[in-house]
Amino acid sequence: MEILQNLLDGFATLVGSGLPAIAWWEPTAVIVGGIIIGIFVGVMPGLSASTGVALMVPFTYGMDPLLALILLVAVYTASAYGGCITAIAINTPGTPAAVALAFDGYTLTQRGEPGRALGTAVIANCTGGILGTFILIAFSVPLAKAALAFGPHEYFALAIFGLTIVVSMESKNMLKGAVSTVLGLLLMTIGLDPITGFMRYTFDRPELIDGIAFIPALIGLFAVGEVLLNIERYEPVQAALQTFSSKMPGRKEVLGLKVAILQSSILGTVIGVVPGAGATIAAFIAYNEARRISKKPEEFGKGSLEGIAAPAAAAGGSVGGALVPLLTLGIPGSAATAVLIGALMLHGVTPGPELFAGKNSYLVYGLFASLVLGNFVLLVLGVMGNRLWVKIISAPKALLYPVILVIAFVGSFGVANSLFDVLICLIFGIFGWILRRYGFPTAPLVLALILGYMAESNFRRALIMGDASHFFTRPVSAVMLVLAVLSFSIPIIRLKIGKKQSK
Amino acid sequence: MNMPRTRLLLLLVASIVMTATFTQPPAVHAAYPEKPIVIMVHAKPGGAIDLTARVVSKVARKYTDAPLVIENRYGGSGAVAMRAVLGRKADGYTVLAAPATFISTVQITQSDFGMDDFYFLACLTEAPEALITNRHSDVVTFEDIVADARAKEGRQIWVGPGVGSLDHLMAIKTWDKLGITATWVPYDGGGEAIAALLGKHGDVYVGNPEDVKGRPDLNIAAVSARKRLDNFPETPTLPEVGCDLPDEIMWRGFAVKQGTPPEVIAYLDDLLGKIAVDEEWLAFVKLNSAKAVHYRHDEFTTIVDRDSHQSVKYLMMANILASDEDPAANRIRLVAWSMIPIIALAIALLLRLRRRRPTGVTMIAGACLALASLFFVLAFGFPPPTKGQNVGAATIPLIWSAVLTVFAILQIRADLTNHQDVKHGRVKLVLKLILLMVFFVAVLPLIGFFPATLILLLGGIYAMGYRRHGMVATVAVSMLVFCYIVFIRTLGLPLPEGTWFQ
Repeated sequence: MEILQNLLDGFATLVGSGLPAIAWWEPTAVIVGGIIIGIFVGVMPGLSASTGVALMVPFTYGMDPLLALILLVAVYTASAYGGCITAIAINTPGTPAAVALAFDGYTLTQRGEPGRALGTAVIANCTGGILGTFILIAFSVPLAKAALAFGPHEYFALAIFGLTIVVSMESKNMLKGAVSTVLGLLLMTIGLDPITGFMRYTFDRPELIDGIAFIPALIGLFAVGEVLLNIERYEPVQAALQTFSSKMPGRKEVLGLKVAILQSSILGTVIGVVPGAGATIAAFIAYNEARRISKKPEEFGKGSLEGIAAPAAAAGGSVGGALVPLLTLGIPGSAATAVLIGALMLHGVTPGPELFAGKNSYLVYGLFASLVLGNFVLLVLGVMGNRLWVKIISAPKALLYPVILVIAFVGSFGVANSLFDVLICLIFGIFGWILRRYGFPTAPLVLALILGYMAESNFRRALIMGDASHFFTRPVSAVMLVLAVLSFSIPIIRLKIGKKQSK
Repeated sequence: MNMPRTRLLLLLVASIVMTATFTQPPAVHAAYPEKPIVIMVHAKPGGAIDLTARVVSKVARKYTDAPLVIENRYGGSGAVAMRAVLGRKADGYTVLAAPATFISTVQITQSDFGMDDFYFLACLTEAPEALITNRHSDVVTFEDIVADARAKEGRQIWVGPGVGSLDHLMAIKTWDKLGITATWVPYDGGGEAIAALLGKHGDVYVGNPEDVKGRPDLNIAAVSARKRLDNFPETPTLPEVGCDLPDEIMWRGFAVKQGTPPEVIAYLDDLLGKIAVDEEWLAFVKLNSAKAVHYRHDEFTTIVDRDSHQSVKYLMMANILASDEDPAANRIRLVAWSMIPIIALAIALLLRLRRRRPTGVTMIAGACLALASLFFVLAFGFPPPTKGQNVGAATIPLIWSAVLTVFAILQIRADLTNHQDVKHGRVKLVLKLILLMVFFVAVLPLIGFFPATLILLLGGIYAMGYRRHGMVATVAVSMLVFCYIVFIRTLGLPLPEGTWFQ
């Protein structure tokens, strides 16, 4: 109950009765501003949540620490949603976690119903964000303990589990999905070896020391590849006839998603605690689990609303999850929370368990309250924004596509301010077009670039620490590896049985 | 017929005028500094060195009219940022934020430049290296560490950021001085390594005293210093406990490219001197448990030289710097590259025998096969696993390239037995756009972002057969204005300005 009282105090601080240094309207204004900036950051490919938060840090210099914190967290919250918008509207995920949204969301857009997809995404995302906040408030201590118990063995098993889910998702053509995945895994080995520091396959190019940057690769494969693919099928007359509706999903439809949203929010928050690729893996696991419990699993990949709600809710929940290690241990749970820690230090606040006690405890509860409030603001702004996004994608394709290309290149440049990344974006764009043209899915390639690193570095760490049998004697890692084998082999077995029956 | 032409011309003129106003004209030479000074930071925004640079930039506003702006160029543990500074003019408008870690970066990546390509202006902070333990584990004090290491005979786990990093070298030095052995497990960053220590996946973390702030579960077992730290009076120094390492520090300072004019160096030296004693700056450094110092050029250079010599010695000791290149490496490279034509020939032959035309799927799978064999053979040139380990740098590339080979062969087989043709669309239009994009990427560094973007936009729109010139002009102009306001003014992205105009 004390927590509830503290949370209420947090709300009181936000709406004005609390602190003398802050005017009553300031927190709300900061949240609204932060959410708008965050949506924009998420929409721009290349501007990741962490970059967006970092770019806002200088603006917080003169602010009270609480205002600074809620501004940065609002940007973080909204950028998780912003990444979903482009995934649905133009098949270009703004964040890696949004890749799972493109499957069903973009399909609906192609059918002329982007409003339904975007509406589902924003509702699911905000619900996920609010549920994630409550999980953060209630269970942050046990969750943090569980996260610490995660050693290299478990991280490796989680990465492998994530990879097999991605492959099995391409059930139409698993062989092509597998080729795509392993190609990504192999390209991932380019760069400095994480354990010995040896330079692998860098061919004496200094830009390759860190390997292929996955954000430019993602932008290339998705944004540029998609534009090229659409240009190949471009018919000016037909394109002029296509209309997009901004109609939102109906109330019944939304209510029908409650199980998927609830389950995915919890998955998103819990797996989002895992530092690094937590949010991305969470989105994929949520999608897969939603399909497993769905009454209409056959609709997944063909414009299922559940298939949109699940990853969007997981992405929303992962924000709360990533804050767990920050608040309980003072350790970043994601790239964006790492920036948050830096920004708090600038304001003389050290993140960690000591925050809850002492004179800075108002920050924690103000943060919780602002997360809840921020998600409501995001819901309102997101619904209002849908018309704008639909209007943008209704623009003549001949104008839209070159504009997307420009933004893709600027975004790739902005990741590390490097012209080499622009080149990576172009090369992967051409790859993306060729691969997709012949039915090779590109999502597994991108995810392999992300998860492959997590898999290799933790595999190697685990082997330095002990022998290989530990992968199967540690319970969590053993369970996940078994699940990985199952999720890979069951679709193959089903396919074989199906073929036999049809003969 | 004439009207659209004139309009097009007008449009072009308007756009050229616009891009000209966006591209800054070459300035007349006046007293330094007459434009913003860039601080090049190698870490992502929010990292320790980034924050240091940002506070320096903030404090500097009191003492100079020229704004100090931060430019983040991350990658290669700083190699990219250092190269970026060396690639610019030695005019003092680009200052490198240099941490001690750059020394091993230069050595490990075997770069074609060295620390002596930089003129070190001033070192502003230092933090002693510290051995940190988990209060809730069995290894807490320095004595525990030594006893546990002896008992485990090399299986004691030390964690920290990176391989060959400053912290890694600190670990090797400590082992060397104490005559113990232990295992270094590198993590991607300090935060991850601390999480591993808290989760008891490691026994000792090497970092700085600032790492224990706000983390009550962490304990500093010993710190490299000559006398005990004011913030941690309970913590023994390494010399106190019999480990002769009193001067291991992580320093952060600033440098410019060698050849920068003396009057510019004098200006920056004076500016950094003022910042070094500023109240706000001192408050920031104290907050981060570091020590504010002000070592000027001579003293700073002595420290850099000393650390460079030690770094080479211990990197060799840890087998991270190989002394000579393997003579077999060239042969392996030759074999690896010749795999590509061999595989191309083999696939061509196979198609010939089966009387099939090469399909797209077969070509993609063939390309994967060629790439896999290239990587597979090249991996044999990688250094073998260190003693006592059976997995090394080559293991994972070998596994993935072997798996890719299998899948690619399966894919070729599947395509031979059952291949479906792909419907061809307007491939010519796509090729036109690809050509346009290649042109864009090629001329971007030469003519700058705005002119290149204008070419890409107009070329793309007209190539797709859109002819409403008024609309095209509106879109092009608003796109350029949007990019200028958002990316340059608000976000401060250093979009290329073009070398032709400078």
